[in-house]
Amino acid sequence: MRYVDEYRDPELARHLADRIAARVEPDRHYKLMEVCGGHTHAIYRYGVHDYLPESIELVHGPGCPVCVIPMGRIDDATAIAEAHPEMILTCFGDLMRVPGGRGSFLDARARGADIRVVYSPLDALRLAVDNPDRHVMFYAIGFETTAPSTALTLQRAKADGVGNFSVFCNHVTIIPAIKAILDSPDLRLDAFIGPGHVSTVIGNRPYEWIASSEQMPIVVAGFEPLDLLEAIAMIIDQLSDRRAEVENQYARVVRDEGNPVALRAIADTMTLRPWFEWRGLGSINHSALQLSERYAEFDAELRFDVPGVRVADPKACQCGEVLKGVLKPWECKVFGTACTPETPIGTCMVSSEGACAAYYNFGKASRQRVELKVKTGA
Amino acid sequence: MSERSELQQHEPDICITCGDVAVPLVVVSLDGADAVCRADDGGTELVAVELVAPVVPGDRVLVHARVALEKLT
Repeated sequence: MRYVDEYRDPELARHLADRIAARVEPDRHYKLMEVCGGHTHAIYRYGVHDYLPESIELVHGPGCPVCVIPMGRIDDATAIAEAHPEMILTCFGDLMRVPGGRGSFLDARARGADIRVVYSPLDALRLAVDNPDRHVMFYAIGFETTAPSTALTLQRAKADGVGNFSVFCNHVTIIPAIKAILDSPDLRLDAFIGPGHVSTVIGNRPYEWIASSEQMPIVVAGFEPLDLLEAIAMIIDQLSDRRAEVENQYARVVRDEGNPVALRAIADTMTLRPWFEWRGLGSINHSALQLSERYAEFDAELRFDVPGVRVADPKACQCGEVLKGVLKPWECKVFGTACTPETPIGTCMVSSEGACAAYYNFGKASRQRVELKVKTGA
Repeated sequence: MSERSELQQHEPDICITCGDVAVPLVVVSLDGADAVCRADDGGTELVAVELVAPVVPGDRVLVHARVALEKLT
């Protein structure tokens, strides 16, 4: 398949693995955080670990939007939907199983709420146009990759005067999350693998403080196995050369300036919240978006009573530690026993981008391959 | 027009919420602010292209949640 096969070539992967192995310094341990949940998924899916020396540890970051959503925000949307029988609550598929304090959206649907999966916020808007006697609320979630599609949908809704459509906004921004990770006393990192598609929108410049102030390398990477291996090789090169720079491995997609049109659409429709509660990371100032005053008529939080539910995470769940990279998924007390993708307790087990679900689905095989290599001396 | 079913949304490889499912598609034809785009597997979908305008048939675009985020070189 064009544009894919060349990024999965085993020969090239071995070449990059050799380059990495040749540059790692003896007796040095490297901790690299992949910020994006898509990278976590790809690392486990393609067994990227298998190509790396043991001294390179990949730490999973907070970049899975479903994983960082607090349970109370699920309960809030459920409460709005259940209080308004004319409501059709729409969301992306992964959200359906996220547990809230009163169960998931699937549970609420079983109780009678009209909750439907859409592939795009534009589909939610279409649903509103097709059902003028109903109200369609879209549960918006995601980092800067997804915010443009919500922004564009809001602009179309306003231009077309669609009055029976609103957005329950949970969009979050990546830079404050990275800052929170760096402020965490539990974790010492050497470098970041930067998010590929978030950077398509925001560009590479917002990361410059990581290199200049924190003196840490960050390499924006694509999502194929060779993308990740090349990004890791670039990071190891920087660390070996005692450099700290923002580099772009994913230049075939990401421009330094990002997509200014998309950024303007976000700025038109949304504004920063004073603070937002993140699962695992707590409250972070200016880390999320709400609808701007110009789009207040579409703001579900202004149109409807929002209970503002705050629910503590289940005691057994250690998603917070996993999201901060302090714990590996398999080190959580309930991983794979009480908490599985079928019956998740924590959000990290719900989304396929979540570190726990990714490890549950693919990681065991990866570990078995490592054990086999050790046994056979390969 | 290929439509993704609700069941497909739950498959482990697909999490629309995160940007990693942004996929490269080829513009086939224009339809107002939208474009019919084709994937490598031959499936087509209607994509909003305001954020990457102007596009012409043959352009490759990176698409997330039915919205083109970037023109690919």
